[in-house]
Amino acid sequence: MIDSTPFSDFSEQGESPLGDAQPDVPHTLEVLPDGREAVVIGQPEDFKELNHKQGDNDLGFKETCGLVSCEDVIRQFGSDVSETDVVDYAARNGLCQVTDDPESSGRTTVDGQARILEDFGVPAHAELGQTNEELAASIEEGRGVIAEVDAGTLWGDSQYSDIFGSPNHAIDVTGVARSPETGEVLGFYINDSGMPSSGRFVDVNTWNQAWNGSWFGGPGELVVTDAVHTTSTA
Amino acid sequence: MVTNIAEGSRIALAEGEPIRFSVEESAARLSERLGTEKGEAEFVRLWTESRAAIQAFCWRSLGDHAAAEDVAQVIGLRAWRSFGSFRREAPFVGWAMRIARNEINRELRRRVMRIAREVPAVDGYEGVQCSREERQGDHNVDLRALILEAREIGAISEPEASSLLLRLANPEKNWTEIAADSNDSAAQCAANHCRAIPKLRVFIFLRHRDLFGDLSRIRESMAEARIAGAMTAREEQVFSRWILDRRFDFRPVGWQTLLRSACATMAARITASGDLGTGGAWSSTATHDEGEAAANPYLPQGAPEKISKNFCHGMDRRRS
Repeated sequence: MIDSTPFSDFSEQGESPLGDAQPDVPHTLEVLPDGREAVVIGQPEDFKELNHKQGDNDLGFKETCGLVSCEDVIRQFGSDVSETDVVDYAARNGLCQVTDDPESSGRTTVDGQARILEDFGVPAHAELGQTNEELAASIEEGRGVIAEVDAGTLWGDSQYSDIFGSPNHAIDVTGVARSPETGEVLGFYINDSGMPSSGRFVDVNTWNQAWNGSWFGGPGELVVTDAVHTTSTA
Repeated sequence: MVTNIAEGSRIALAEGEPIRFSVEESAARLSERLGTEKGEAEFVRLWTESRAAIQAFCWRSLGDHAAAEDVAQVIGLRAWRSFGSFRREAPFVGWAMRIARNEINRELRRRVMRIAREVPAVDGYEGVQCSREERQGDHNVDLRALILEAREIGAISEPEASSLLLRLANPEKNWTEIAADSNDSAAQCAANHCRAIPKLRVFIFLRHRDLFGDLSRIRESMAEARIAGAMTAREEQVFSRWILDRRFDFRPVGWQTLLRSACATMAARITASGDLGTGGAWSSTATHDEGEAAANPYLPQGAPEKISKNFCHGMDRRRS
């Protein structure tokens, strides 16, 4: 009889030390732009259509990356909202920055984004100091995820970078690519309302710089939904 | 022990070597150097503006609020002492951050030394589920046997074990070809394999930890990983409790993810160091003494010969 400690201690509680979640999140075998084979977990293709260029709202706010990211996540969970709906709600409730100039209005914080999601029926919370594996785990659990990144690094244009590489832009993370051989994270798929680009693959090195490359050690800021997508396995 | 910069007191800059520091004394020296007392006021203003960011940086680097606060105090004192050399063209926070990085590295090195001193005798360690032969250094491991054992105790599921075994049996095939031998699609096979590997690493660390060397070697690698920034403080904490201390009741938020990623990092570092074997680089194109080697996805590249060879032998036995 093999001693299964510590595994047996958790089997009844569903808390294996190996993390035995069997997500219903779709997964496909893809070839990445650099030619590597990858298991793609998440719905980057399905969620492409939810993204659009930011600034498409009646108030004329242009700095709405966080608000469009919220709109994207809300729509992932089935609610039909527009950027105008989200911007208007945030402006009326003090959940985004409003200045004399609409073009510089609309900025949000992670707490504001989490609150907006919650108020639109998608409970969420902010996370700080997360790692790529934790981000990947959230996606693999089927959660909606907004990440706070340095736009300049993501776009390869330093004029859009924060002086310390700190986050100045919000995007949706819609999928993760893992090596089928080693399980390591190869990169993430994003919906970015800034460029805009939908279902874009960001390799892990670029991602580390954009999301975790701050001078201050990398904030790894996320907004993660408490609920998970209800999808079937591909 | 350190104290508030405004009060001045005793501060330990090196373990066991406390030095006396007086803010008043340094302020006087600073004023003398600058030829004015404006320097003091300027420093206090700049430090006050930057302190939160520096302390947050310390916290993220050290993973410990109390330590971060202590180190931030030391950084403040060092910055105060060197303020005369601060050139105003650059932001103060950037200048102070360089001091912070040095001080954090110093603190991490002190931790390594402490850990090294605190390593218990391996012989006295209890709880490792391994055979007498393994404890005596005979790491004759058959990876297939490990997979079967992991499946038997429920550490990995049947489909996961199946994907692992199929990959092991067909190292040269792609996933479409592998799937032809199974009831699953290529994507499902690859996904099962991808999911199983991190679990298998955790399994090996939990039940066959000796494959990665003795406890002191693992502790050293863990400390080195932290210094190199390869492992976060939270990952280190979970790995330390689960793998080293066998504290299975330690379950902070996200502990399973932290344990998986910590085991992956540690496996990579320990095996890459080559301390367990001859240190020969192991790669998917390397060869061993019984023929062509195959990609070993279970241990990252650079696995020591002692382990990787045995895994390859395991594959050979199964193939033949």
